[in-house]
Amino acid sequence: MRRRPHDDRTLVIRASNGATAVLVHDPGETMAAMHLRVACGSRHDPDGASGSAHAVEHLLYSRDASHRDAEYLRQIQSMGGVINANTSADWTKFFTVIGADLLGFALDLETARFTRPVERFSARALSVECQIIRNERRQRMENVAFGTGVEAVTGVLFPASSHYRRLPIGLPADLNALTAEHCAAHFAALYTGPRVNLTIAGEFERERTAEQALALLDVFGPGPTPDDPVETEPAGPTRRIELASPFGSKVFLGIPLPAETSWDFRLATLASFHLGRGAAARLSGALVDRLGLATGVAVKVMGRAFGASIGVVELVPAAGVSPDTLIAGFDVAMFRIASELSQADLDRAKALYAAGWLSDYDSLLRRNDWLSLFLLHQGSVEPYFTHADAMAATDMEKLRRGVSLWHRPAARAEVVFAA
Amino acid sequence: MIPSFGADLARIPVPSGRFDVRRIGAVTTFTVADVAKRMIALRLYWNGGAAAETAGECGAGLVALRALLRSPSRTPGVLPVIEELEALGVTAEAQVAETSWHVDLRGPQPSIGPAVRLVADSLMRGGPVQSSVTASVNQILDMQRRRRHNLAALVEERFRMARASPGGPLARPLEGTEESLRSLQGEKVAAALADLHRSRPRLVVVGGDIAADVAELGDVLAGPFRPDTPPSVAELFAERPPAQISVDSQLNEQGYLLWGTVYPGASPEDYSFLEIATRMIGGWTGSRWHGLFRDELAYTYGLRHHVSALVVGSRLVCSARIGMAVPPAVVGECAERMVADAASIDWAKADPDEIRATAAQLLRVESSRYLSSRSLMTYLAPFAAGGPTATFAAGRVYALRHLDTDRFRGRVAELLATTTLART
Repeated sequence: MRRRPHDDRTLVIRASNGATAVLVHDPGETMAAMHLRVACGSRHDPDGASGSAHAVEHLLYSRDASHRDAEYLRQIQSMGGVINANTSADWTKFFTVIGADLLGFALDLETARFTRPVERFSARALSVECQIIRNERRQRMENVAFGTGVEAVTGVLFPASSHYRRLPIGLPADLNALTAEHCAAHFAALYTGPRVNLTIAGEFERERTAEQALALLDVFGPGPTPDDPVETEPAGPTRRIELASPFGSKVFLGIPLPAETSWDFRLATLASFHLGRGAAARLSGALVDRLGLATGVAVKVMGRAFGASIGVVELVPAAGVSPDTLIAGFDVAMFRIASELSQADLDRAKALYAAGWLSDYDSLLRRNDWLSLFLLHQGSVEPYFTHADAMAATDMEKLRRGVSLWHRPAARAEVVFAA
Repeated sequence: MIPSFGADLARIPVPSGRFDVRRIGAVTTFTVADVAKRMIALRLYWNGGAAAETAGECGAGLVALRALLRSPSRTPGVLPVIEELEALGVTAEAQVAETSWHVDLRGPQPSIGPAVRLVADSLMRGGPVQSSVTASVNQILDMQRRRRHNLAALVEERFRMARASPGGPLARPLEGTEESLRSLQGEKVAAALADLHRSRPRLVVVGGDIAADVAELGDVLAGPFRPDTPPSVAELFAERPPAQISVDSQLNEQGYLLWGTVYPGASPEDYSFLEIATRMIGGWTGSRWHGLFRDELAYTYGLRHHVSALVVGSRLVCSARIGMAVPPAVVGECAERMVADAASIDWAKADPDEIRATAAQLLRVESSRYLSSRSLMTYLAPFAAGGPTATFAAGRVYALRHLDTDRFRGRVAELLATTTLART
């Protein structure tokens, strides 16, 4: 184990198996939050087995797969803790927030949970969790108006060979075909030391917590340094599909953005605040208020670490406006927005970005998320603490570049829902 | 060894839930004590809300506030107030609730003072510009349309309306009906704003102390004010609510069920009892319905448990609901099971250890509300309306810490006597 004290409050631990931990001591907090990030996600799902990473995440919480009597979910909640997990394209993350005086118990439970869980992956547990995932898919996507829009975007934007083509939730047919052995193999191959990062923030007893953190890191087996291939950004031409919908019309534009490890991704995110955040969002102002072409505009960013990130623009056409007219109006609006950028626009975008950064700092969980991401991408947590200053120094040229990243009429996905 | 919880509720560390209450000019300010965050959340609110509006003018107060934020401020300026606020990194949103209207601001500590001055400025306008009124009406109608496409939100709204007094102000959408919203023009909106100004303003602040910045607001919102005349509970809530209602929806890939109650005339102790009881039924992974509908039957991705309180005059109205989405084919089965199971519970014989363990969970979860100014504001603001409920949060914690399991066992059956199941 190698330890590096970053500053008085921050400790970085590197275990001999390659796993890392960041501990940020915040005296005065009554809670502590821990965040375990594993560098595996849906991009590691084999063809025909979409949803594997997500199913493993579920299995790790399954009652049937619990370690002895230490049923993790119930134990943490019985202590008043809050838990959740998330599988994305690149990561699987497990978070817990708990009273500061109970962090030690939570760490012990987490260590037990990740100690050879594959011995407890059973066909029955997998069957139950896959049914639950099917319900999750219905709840989040199939039973929501236009809920399959983003899935359609990634299916159109990325080529067949791309690991980012499918969403983490998986396709129903693939989920039905998953086996416990496959899930066990996924865990064994990908939940290895070099892929694991633990972040803890809040109030805790430092020496004891560092020992327990190391004990948790040590349960993961050794493995090769991740060498995940980086995909090239999808090139044009623009591809379009049309889907029927009983809910009326809606357009989803999927725009390839730079990988989230890049500074350009940060600029694209800053630009997304200018385009789509708040009542003064410029894209809404143009398409809804000025041109009357839309009744709703939303701008979202989905970061990807090893290939193109995805910018999604959702447009609801105004009555009598065709999707083609709306898309053309979007392109006109983007030209105008880029050419009319002002200092006030820059100040507003930076102010909103900075406020979002502060809000994330206040939240132990989101701070943990950022700390672990910076450590993984940049090998240090220092950039996290200087990021706000770096963004504050952004100038007009950089904002203009960020806005330009959103306008790719020759290389985007167009998903059109029509009544 | 996992510590045994519930043994000593009084020793579980919990934030105080204390407000520092001050009158600054005409504004009564409730500041959450001992909470310092980088982002401050602030709610400026007036009593009244949907309950104070007639059927023909429902939504006017909300439209007035939203349109005001979209209009330029009184002092010379071209930008709408909301844009000026966003340039400070402050987000602003106007909302209506059952018995109040409010404007929520959220932003970094150094920006909140200027933000408050901007809002004070805009409130002195005679009325918002017509184009802002139209835009605000369209925004609300769009939001209502999107809500109809969210099954859980749709069923929640129908549940709330079913528990309301028939024909009363809560038996319709709080933001207004399409008819009332489309009828709103400049004069009606200006009148709604003038009426709102006659209600004494109150301010809830979370994350820091901004008393110095509030002084200007206190000078601006000077009155005169009419006396608070809250509606009666009988005007708002049904005496004999339906046991079951059906909700129609275009969304048919899943069904949704929501079971719960609304209990008028509650005390902080009653709120705690309802919390404990409904958490035991379906509020966490160790609850009855989680074990049945998720773990055993795999019918649902998860259950949603929600307990909330509303101040009506001097009375506390508590609402507790448990909801879940399930495949359409099993909605009927789940409805029968939920109703039958809830009715089968003999609360007089509930396990005291389980009751105390659940109370311990709730005390521990309390701290997580304090993680962000936004989550704390959402929880505390409804209780800051003054009167006997000003110290609600502290009262609730006290009730949990000094839990009397015999009183719980004797009281819960009454609290859950009239439940409603809303189902698709």
